[in-house]
Amino acid sequence: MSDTGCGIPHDQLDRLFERFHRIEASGRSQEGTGIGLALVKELVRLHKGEISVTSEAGQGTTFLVSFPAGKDHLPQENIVSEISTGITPSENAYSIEALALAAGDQSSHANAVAVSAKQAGDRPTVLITDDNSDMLEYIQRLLSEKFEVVTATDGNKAMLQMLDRKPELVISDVMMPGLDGFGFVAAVRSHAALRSVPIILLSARAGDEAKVEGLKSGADDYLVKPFSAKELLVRVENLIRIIKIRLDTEKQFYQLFLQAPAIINVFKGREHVYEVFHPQNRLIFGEVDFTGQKLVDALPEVESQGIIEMLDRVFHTGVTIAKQEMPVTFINKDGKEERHFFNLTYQPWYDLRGNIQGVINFAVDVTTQVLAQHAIRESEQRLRSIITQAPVPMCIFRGQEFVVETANTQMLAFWGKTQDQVLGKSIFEGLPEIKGQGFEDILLNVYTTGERYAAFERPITLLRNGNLEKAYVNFVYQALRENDGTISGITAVAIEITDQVRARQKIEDAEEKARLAIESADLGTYEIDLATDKMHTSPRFNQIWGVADGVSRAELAERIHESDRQVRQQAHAKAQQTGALDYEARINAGEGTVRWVKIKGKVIYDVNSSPLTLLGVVQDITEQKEFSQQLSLQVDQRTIELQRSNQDLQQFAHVTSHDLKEPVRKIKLFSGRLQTEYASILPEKALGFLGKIQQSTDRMFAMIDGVLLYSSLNARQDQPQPVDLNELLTGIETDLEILINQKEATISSARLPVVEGWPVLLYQLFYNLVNNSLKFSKAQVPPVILVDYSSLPAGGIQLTVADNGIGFDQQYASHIFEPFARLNAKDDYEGTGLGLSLCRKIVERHHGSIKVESAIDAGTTFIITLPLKQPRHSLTDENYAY
Amino acid sequence: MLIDDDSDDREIFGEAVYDIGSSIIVETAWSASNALEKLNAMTTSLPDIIFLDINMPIVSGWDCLTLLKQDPALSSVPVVMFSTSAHEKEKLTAQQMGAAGLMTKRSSYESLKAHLRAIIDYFHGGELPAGFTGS
Repeated sequence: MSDTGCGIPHDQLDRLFERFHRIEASGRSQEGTGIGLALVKELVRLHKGEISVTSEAGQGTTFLVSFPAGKDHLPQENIVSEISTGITPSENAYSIEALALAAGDQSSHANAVAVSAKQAGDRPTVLITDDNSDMLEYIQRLLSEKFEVVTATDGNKAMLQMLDRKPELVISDVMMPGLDGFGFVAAVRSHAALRSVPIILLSARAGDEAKVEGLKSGADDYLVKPFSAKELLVRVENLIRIIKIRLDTEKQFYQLFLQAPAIINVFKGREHVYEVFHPQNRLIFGEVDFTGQKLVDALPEVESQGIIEMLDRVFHTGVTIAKQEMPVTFINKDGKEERHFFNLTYQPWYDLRGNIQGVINFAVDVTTQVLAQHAIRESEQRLRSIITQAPVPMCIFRGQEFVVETANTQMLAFWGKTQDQVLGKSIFEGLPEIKGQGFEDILLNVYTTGERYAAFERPITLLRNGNLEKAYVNFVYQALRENDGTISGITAVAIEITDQVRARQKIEDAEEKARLAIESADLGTYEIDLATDKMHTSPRFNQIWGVADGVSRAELAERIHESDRQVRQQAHAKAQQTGALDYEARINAGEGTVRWVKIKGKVIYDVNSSPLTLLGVVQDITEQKEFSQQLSLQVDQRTIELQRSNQDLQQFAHVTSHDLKEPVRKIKLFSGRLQTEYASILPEKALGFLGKIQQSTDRMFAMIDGVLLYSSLNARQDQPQPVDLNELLTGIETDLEILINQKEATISSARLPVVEGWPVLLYQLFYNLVNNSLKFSKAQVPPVILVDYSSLPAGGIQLTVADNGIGFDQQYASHIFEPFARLNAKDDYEGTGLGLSLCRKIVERHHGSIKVESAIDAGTTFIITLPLKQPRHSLTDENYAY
Repeated sequence: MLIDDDSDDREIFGEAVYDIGSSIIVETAWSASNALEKLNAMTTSLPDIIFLDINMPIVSGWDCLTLLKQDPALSSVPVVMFSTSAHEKEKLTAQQMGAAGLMTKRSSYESLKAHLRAIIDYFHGGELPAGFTGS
């Protein structure tokens, strides 16, 4: 088939049979379905024929169609033997469409608007977009019975209509000049307000591929032209119903969503416009609604807080960002900064096709919890700082291992450890020496039960500065509880009291010692409150005084012996001055018992130096007193005796020096005169007697002078000298020759030693003893006198002078050494009674001793001990009257 | 004058003084009271020297000396104390009580005479005899 038309450009010939392809910029009308030639080609193909085209622009076009002859090449089922003349409804609609396409008048459009305005209300509105006026009119006619119908002839106009009329559904042609169907769908879907409006695409392009493409672009349905009017109607109705249900569901869901206890904001687009401003936000911002506002406009204060950046990131990259306890500061409704903490996620919001439309923000305001946690953390920090700054040792043990978390310097000092040695370690690792001292169980018990543990004066052995030291400590362990009440550790507060305990133990020791001392001394104790005169007395005190507990001070004062009350008063007066009480008094101990007591007390003063208490002890000294009284009596007696003996001695000296000397002097004088005046007339023998008299009186004088010398020894400074006792004895024998001869006495002596002493005194001693033996001899028995000696083991000598005389009763042995003592009648035995007393004095002068052994008729033995050497000045040390 | 309770001594004293000089008058008294009696009875002259025994009963020589020295009429007569033994203490006492001296009694007649002569000579302007303590 050839024509002379405008022809087809050469480069367009290949796409001439493509469906909906239009040759643009040609002289052809804009109208046309773009499916004509595609249909032709399809029909030719169905008949197994071929079609080709040749054309010259400006000259005309020639289509060449060729078919195989016959019908054998066609599928049997497709062969229709009779050609029907009836027209199907769709054929009818198609023809109507074709007619409408041809007509293209605008009146129907105006009518449609009028109708839609007139019948607007409960009827859903449908927008129809098509550049083909016939088609517009046709669909409008189809739908106007049930729907409000608005029309637009291209995509852009349709957008405006949609924004204006808010149709429930849009039916859009695909092939439109300018903004085509796909472009329109995309525009609608990306428009926040319009995107959910269902769109049915109408297209002449059949086939699954085209349909998928259409749906993929975001359309809700796809109808291929020609379509049945019924089908379109049903599909429109269905979609409207579906969208209504969906909207209802969405609305319900949205309500649900709005009622969620967490904040769920939805930001749309790259500007982060509030798509959803969740009501929960009002708890923070008050009665506002930021919907439709950009985040930066609504909350400019968030700009510097990293929020926008996160939203951008999510929007552009599709990642999900989650943050815990993120701090955000808002300006609250009062214009003040308010810090909130959120657990939040920012996640991309995809549309159904997987495109990111915005960001969903899910946030839980955890400000309260975070602040609570902060408070806990702060309180822990505070606890730690309290411990560090505490003036007493404090520490925290953590966990069941009791790890030393914090320990202040005082605690470290108490432990004698450095921080490095204990911090972060179990206490039993840091202080291994306390293992087995019982702290394990205590700590574990506090940790498991939460019961506080307090110890008083707990001994603990610590390795401090290299020494194991026993210390005493008061401490408290307290469970450290977390917010939820669980125990996570133990706080320990300790005060070392080692010094105090030691001091107290010393005091206790001292008190114990004092108590023992008091008990062993049999002392009664008492205490008087000086303000009230109230008394506390010990049982022993009560026993001594013969009183019962609770005795008053006045009662006790009454019991003091009348004559000793003055003593007591004076002692108390003195105690007021000195603080010390000390006196002795007799007391009436009840039942007629009088006791001597010694009272010693001490006044205790208060800080102002006023007397507070009198502490005292009382001792029963009755026995001592009686003893000392007896002693004193004895001393008095002895003193009298001594005085008497002194008097005796004085008298003796007097007698010796005067009275005794007088008669001797006279004998001497008269015998001397006899010799000188009458020698010529006296016989020779008489002159011999006179000579003996003269000799004896001279000896007598010597003796008297010796005694005088003895008496006045202390006035002299004689030194002792060696005395040969043999010579001494010979001299005595000579002196006593007359008596010895008269008594026919025998004197024998051993070879005696030389002793140190005073010759005159020693002479006197032995003279007296020998003389004594001669004097007290038995009447008819010649006296035998034996002088002997022996050396003493302790030094010195023992001399014995033994006789065979009359002897005496041994019971008088000590008596005979007393001055003027006589055992025998003066008539029978001459004597002054001084001899032996002199002997004793002389021996004692020589630091020796003398004793006598005797029995009646059995002789007498004097036993004398003498040192060989005399100490110097010995005689001047003693104090004698003469 | 000699005041001594011992008659033997009075006798020997008299003999000794007579032997020294027969012109010397010797008065004796046996006690202090006897001596005072005799001295008070002397109206014309008093003794040139009084010898006074210390050891006398009732009124001792010392008491007698006090009486003599208290009597204004007699206090100027020199008194020589006469004693058996002469202690330093007694010499000092004699001096303090106003005696002219102290002489020990002799156990030899010759010695007695020699001493008496010396004392008598002294009080007649002679030398002080040996062993005599005078003032």
